[in-house]
Amino acid sequence: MSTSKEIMAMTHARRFARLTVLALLVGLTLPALAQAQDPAAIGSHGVTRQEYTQGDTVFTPTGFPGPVEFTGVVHYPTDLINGPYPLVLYLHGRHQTCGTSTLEWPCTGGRLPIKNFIGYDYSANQLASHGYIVISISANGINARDNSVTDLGAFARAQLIDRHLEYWRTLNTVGAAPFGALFVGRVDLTRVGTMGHSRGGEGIARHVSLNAAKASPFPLRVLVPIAPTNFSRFQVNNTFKVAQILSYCDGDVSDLQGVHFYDDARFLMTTSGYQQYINVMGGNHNFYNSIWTNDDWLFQPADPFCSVGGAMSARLTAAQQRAVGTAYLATYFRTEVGGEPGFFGYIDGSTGKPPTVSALAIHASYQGNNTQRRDLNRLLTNADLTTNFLGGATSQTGLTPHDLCGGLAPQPLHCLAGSTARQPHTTPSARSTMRGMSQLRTGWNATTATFVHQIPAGPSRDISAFDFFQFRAVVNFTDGRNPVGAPRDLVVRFTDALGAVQSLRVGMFSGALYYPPGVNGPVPKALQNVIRLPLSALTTVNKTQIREVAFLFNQQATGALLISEISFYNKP
Amino acid sequence: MHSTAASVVARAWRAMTQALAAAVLIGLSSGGAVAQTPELPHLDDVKKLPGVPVAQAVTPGPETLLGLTGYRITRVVLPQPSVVGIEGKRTEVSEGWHVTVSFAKPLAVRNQAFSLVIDGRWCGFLAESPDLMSADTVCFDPRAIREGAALGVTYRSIEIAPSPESVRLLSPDVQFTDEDTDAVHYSSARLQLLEVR
Repeated sequence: MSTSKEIMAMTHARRFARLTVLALLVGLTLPALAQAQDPAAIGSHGVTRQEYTQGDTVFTPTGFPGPVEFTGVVHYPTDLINGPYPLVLYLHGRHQTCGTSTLEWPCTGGRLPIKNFIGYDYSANQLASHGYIVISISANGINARDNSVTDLGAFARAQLIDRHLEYWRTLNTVGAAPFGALFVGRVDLTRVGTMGHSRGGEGIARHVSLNAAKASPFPLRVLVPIAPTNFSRFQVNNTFKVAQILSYCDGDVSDLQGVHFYDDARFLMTTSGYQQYINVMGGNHNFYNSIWTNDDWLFQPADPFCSVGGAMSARLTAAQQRAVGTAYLATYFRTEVGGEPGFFGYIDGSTGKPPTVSALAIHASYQGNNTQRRDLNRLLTNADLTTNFLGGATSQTGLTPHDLCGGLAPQPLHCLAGSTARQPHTTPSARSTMRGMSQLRTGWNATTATFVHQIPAGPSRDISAFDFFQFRAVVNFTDGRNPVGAPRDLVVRFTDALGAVQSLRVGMFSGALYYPPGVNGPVPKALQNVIRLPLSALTTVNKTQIREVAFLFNQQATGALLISEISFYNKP
Repeated sequence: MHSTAASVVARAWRAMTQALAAAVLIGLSSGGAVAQTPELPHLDDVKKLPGVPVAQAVTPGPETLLGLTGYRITRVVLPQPSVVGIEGKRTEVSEGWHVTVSFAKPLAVRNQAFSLVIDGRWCGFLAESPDLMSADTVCFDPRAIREGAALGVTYRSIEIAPSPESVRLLSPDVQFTDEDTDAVHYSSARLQLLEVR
């Protein structure tokens, strides 16, 4: 039996060992960081900025109750002669439209339009400096009346996007006012990307099907919804790349319903494309747009984590949040629209975070298409709790509960009791009856608990071609077996056909099993994050003959998690 | 003169119905077919129809964090039966209830959907007035307009096809934290119908 002094000594020894490992890791990582490419750096092109408009009541989108403006701002490389350059379109979300605080269109009483569309100039300028034409378009006319249409403006926004893209097609072919022939032959319309913030995020998702129905659709290389609404559950899956920015302290779209885009599509990308999101701890809804200076968390009750000035506040400043916007918008568009190498590891998270935001708490989740994965367990039906996706036996010991929730009936609608805003994966959709994501709800009371997957003999046992083992998970904050504020940990043990075993501790590679912070309103929040273990770390087992993968809950005496899709993943 | 005006209104209504059906289809396309009945045109146009007062309430003072001060309900008769979505199902209706909720201070303009809730059931998306001091919608669910019903507003995402469980969770009997704007903010003034339906 250990004395208290021995226990203390052991604790100190463990801490020392951890610190040593940490120091080694830091030492190993720093040179890599020093060499890391920075997508947020300013590029070599000079940039010209110009606003343009055809008026405030130029056209009435089909199905919309009033006319809207055709207005935008373009940032482009001043050396157009060296083009053509790819085109990126930004669309803002819902905000006041006129004066200081009215919601009308067109503006009356001498009030001036609020230029919500210039709120991303910081990013557009940076991206243009790398050789991109970036347009940001105004949607005040839609904002003023979109609550009066059944889809809350998604179709109108899609039409607005299309109209602007068609305008740029004209600029590229014959020219048009006010630019004349300036852009003729200078726009590469084979490379197009879109970003939409908030309702703009749902707008770019709706635009996908509108665009696909065109005789000459624009090739959309990547969609970037920021804190999007997802009222209608538009399905954007196979062949599309969708990369989202979600903020943990979003006080407006506080249920993070945009995660349904990822969840709905995660097994439907059969040939190409991917789904991705970053979970920006401490980010709010508004600050990605520099015009939206009000803190939307004030819509919510004071919270020690999410309120500015809270006792444990981790809120980002507006400047920090725009740094996130700059870094990740550059990452997404330079990688997928520009085809620039070197940044993909920031998308799937395999190389961490862009240098300018490396100090911030950001968790990347990435689900590659079917050609990039070998699914071990999709955790969709009760049958998956006894037979996994590869046909092997699945079993558990000492786990309770150990059931599926949040997916199709007869699963319970939600996994946790209480506010649905705290459960993004199952939060209801305002315009859809679709249910949420199936998740494994599990927990342990002893360190002997296990969740074991057998892999049947045959080619499935050869995982040598994969880079990572991964799954998504979050600490279940409603389960008292998780001490408040303390992260959870577990081990994944790999066993080969000859019985050799090697274990990888999750905490060595991922910080995703944090205790979800916050106590009021929509936090804490059960937003799952991808946990990825590098298979290069497996050195004592035969990776061509892995017969069993087991989750061992042996790091803490008790705990409870929500878990989804378990797979092997290969970087593209 | 009257017949001319009526004719203009009728023509305008037909034009609106034809031109705007597509938008409503987006929201309702998942439901079953209601043959030959036109889709409802814009709610903005329905709201312009003359209505008969059904209920009106002024609260003793601003209520809930949103400062709810009262509401007004008028019954509007559609020029012709139309199809709308009620609890996720395409349903033919010939009348609706124009509900206007007033507030003591300007509403925030949010991206989250702003919904009218009656007795725990979703009853329409609220559209803010230009000055943000009120918001209105048209509710087409006749079950909602009943004596003693509780009327509230919310930014919470709620099931459009409610289950008994979700209705219970959103009902006026639930003790919502008043500081939480994503709660359902119920008026203390229950519906007192002016018109016997």
